[in-house]
Amino acid sequence: MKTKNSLKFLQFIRPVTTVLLCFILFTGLFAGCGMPNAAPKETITLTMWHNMGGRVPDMIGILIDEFNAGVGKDNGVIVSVTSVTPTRDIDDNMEMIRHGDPGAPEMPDIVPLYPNVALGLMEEGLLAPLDDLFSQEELDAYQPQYLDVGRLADGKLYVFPFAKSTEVLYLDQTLFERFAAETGAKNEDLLTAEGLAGTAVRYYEWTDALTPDTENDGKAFFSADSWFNFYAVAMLQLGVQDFIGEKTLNMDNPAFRRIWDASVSPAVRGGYAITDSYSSTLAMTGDILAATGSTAGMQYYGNQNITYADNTTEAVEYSINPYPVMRGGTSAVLQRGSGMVVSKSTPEREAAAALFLKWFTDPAQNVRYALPTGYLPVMKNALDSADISALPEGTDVQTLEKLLITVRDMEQTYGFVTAPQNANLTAMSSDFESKLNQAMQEGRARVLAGEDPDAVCEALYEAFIQ
Amino acid sequence: MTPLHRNSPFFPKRFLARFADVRGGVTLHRRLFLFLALLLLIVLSSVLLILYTTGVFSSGFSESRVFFDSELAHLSSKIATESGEVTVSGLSLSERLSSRLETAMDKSDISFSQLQKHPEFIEPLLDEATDSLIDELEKNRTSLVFVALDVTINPDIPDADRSRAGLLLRNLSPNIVSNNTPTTRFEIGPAQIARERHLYVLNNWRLEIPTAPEDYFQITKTSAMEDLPLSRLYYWNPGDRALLADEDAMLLCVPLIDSGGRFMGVCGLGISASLFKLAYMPDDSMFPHTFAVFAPRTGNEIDLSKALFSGNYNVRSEFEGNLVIGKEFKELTTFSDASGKVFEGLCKDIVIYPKDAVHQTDWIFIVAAPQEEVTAYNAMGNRTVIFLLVLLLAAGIIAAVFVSRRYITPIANAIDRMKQTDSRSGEKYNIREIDDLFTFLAERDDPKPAALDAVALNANRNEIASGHDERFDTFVKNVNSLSRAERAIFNLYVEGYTAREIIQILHISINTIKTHNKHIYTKLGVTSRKELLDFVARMDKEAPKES
Repeated sequence: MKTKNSLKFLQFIRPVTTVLLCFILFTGLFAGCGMPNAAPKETITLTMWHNMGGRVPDMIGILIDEFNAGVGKDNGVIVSVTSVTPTRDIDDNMEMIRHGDPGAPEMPDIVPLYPNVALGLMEEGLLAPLDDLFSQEELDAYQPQYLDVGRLADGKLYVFPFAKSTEVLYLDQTLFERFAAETGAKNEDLLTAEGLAGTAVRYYEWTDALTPDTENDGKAFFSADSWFNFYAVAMLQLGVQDFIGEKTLNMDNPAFRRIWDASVSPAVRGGYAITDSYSSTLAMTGDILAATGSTAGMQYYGNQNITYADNTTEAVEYSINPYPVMRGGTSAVLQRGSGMVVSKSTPEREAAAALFLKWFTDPAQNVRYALPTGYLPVMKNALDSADISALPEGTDVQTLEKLLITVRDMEQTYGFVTAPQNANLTAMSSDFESKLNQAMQEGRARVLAGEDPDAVCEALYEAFIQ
Repeated sequence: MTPLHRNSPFFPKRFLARFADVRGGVTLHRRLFLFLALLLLIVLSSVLLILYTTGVFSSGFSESRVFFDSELAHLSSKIATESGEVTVSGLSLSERLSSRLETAMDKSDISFSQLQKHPEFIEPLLDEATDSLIDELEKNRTSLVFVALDVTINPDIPDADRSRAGLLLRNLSPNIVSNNTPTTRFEIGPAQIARERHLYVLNNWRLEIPTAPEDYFQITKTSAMEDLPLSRLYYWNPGDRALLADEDAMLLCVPLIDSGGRFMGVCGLGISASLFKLAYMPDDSMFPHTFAVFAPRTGNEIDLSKALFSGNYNVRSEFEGNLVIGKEFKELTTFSDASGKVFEGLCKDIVIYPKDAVHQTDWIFIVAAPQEEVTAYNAMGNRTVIFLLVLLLAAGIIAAVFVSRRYITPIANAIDRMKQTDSRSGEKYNIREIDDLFTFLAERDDPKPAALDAVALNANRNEIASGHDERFDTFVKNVNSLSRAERAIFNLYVEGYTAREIIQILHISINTIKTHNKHIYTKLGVTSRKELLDFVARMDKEAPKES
């Protein structure tokens, strides 16, 4: 009897339940529809500073917009650039944050730093180690030497590579050939530091001789963006490993003297420009022909016009040559480029930052913002798969191709060295640059006053290493 | 879609037949369920009515309105204040530069009209102006500062009339929180000026400022002809690439006028697209694609080709053609572009010129988001309420099913059992109404003695024949123990009257007779009226034998 009642009840309740469930389901679907663009709950907004402003085009801004509209949106992450400022200013602000100075800005979630600056922040516990935010497989996809540079004193990865550069010798080939046609100078002469010095002095003398009525109006041939880097790398080329000490520079050795002769000597003779401006500023107006500098300076040395002081212009073509090596020394060149650090915060924010870094350094994105500005992508084989013709509008493809040929050749024959992780490095290099510039200016003035260049060089050297 | 088969339980006729059997009427289960469901619907309808009248369903719209209101108030006030400050700075810069240039030219014993013939004086003049420009750039949170003199360094080169001697300095990080190290960069001007001041020269450096056909210079030059104070002559050039090669910038252009009223050039400050994006970023926590636009307006049309945009995505790429201000919907303004894409938000006119100024372009500031996001957000607020109501409805229906089942099952069971057993069996169901009904039916269905079932009589006879019937002996013995009232009823039963007839004869109630019956049955050891009459018949039969 009871079973019969249950059956009857089931017969009655089944359609009722079905209708009810359908109603609930449709209501639920209806309520969930029409929100294709709604953000996931708990959206994380990451603040970011970067130092790649003033580029044409602003690929970083474009890519961040792409991230926010795509992967970021899907994962509830928004990257908000709150400052675009040069490295020097970022470093200054980081120092303020590190020391908790009054008026120090709030630390951004993602910021590009060099390892020596990141070291101090890491010691204060302000940076998040990134090893656990990436799988081993993901890390294996990056150039191992780029990751190694980002590992700080405790062996953990803090400075994540996003674009690297190295140094090359840019040469105004158009003007150089005009000079070479009359003097027999050759590009091969510029492969060694000594050859570069000799060519520079010859160029000064040649340009001085173009106006016989005016004395000492020759033009400089070369300038280095960083004489400290020039010396540090040259010392390594000559086998000196301990040039950069903990707080002092080891200058009292024959190798240093050889580099002095290859730099200060042509400077006091007028062959090297003595300036604290960037070399590119001089190259734009035809005031120098050659400069060592970062591949990231490629935009200054493309196929472009030189503008002279009377507003006339001349179209020139640059060649990109391997970095000069001290004669008889080992081929070595500096590997440059900061890395992104992530500030210590919550696991969710750190994971969100890692998500952005993974996307940002994927070759699909990395190539688009690195190559047009002369930087190199950071993943293995990224260059092999790069389609240069598909780079953003405004990319100087011709110069980029020349740059990549030279860099790839250097990868085969040069050893790449990085700046040591030393918190005093910035202060030591600034001090060195300043003193060397003073010495060069003094020497040039004394030579113009009639003193013997070799004697001036000798005297300046003795004073300098004291 | 597959049509419903007529045998399907969801086929309308069959479905209704399940609910109400047309042949047998609606069952108690269903009646009670429908009653409870109706009650539930009435309650829920009342709740919906209350929610609607109290504005719960329009809370999403209100929140959207509050959000846009707040963002617009904050950002439009900021742009109005900062554009005003930039204007004041630009006017001040123009006055200072004019004065310094005049002084420098006086020292060199040259007038501005002679300057073109003596280009060697141009660079020293620009050098004189540089420090003022750097100061102004560091004081203001602007992207650039510039000066363009109405002379060119070399009038003999081709396209000499397309550029003018000048300077353009940029601050690449005017938005940095701690502005202790302004990042001044040199973009246009004699390179020597940059070198002397150790200024970083940008890669798109040029010696002269482009002035033709760029409007900013010509329009400002034309307005300088008006006999009005400087504060009525300035011009805001909308966002374009008149000066910067790499991005749009909005330029404040102020004429440089010497003490004799002669036009010497244009100076000013600018807000680049990247600075605008950083400085006027709207909150995107409610609508991910919220954006802000600052642009010139003509009637209801907003010229997006001259606008600056802000938002956490590439806002400009979202639009096709110009934006048209539509009508208000739910207290928000709609905007649509040439492709028909609709946005919702709020806008406000920003006054950037005095009433009696030469230029009177209307500028508008908009904070909005794609309409689908706003609609989705508004619906999301109601979705929770609707979901809760549906949940309540589902719980109510399940409860109605459960309660109706619990309530009706004992009744249904009793009815089923009644169908299978004799109503006079005396079985109890512990439901008072059911038990009463059974008693009533049993009494109504009892036959008179004459019609007693023959089979029952035969059974009694068999018992009598056996000589062993203790219950009958007890019956006989206890007949004398009945009270007077009980005896009267007993006698009437013996005479063959039914309970209903006895009620009428003795003028007593049904309850009274029930009570007496109970006592009579207990005293005589019988369980029903039928048994009582059997024993009476037996007494009649055995009375002569005993006597």
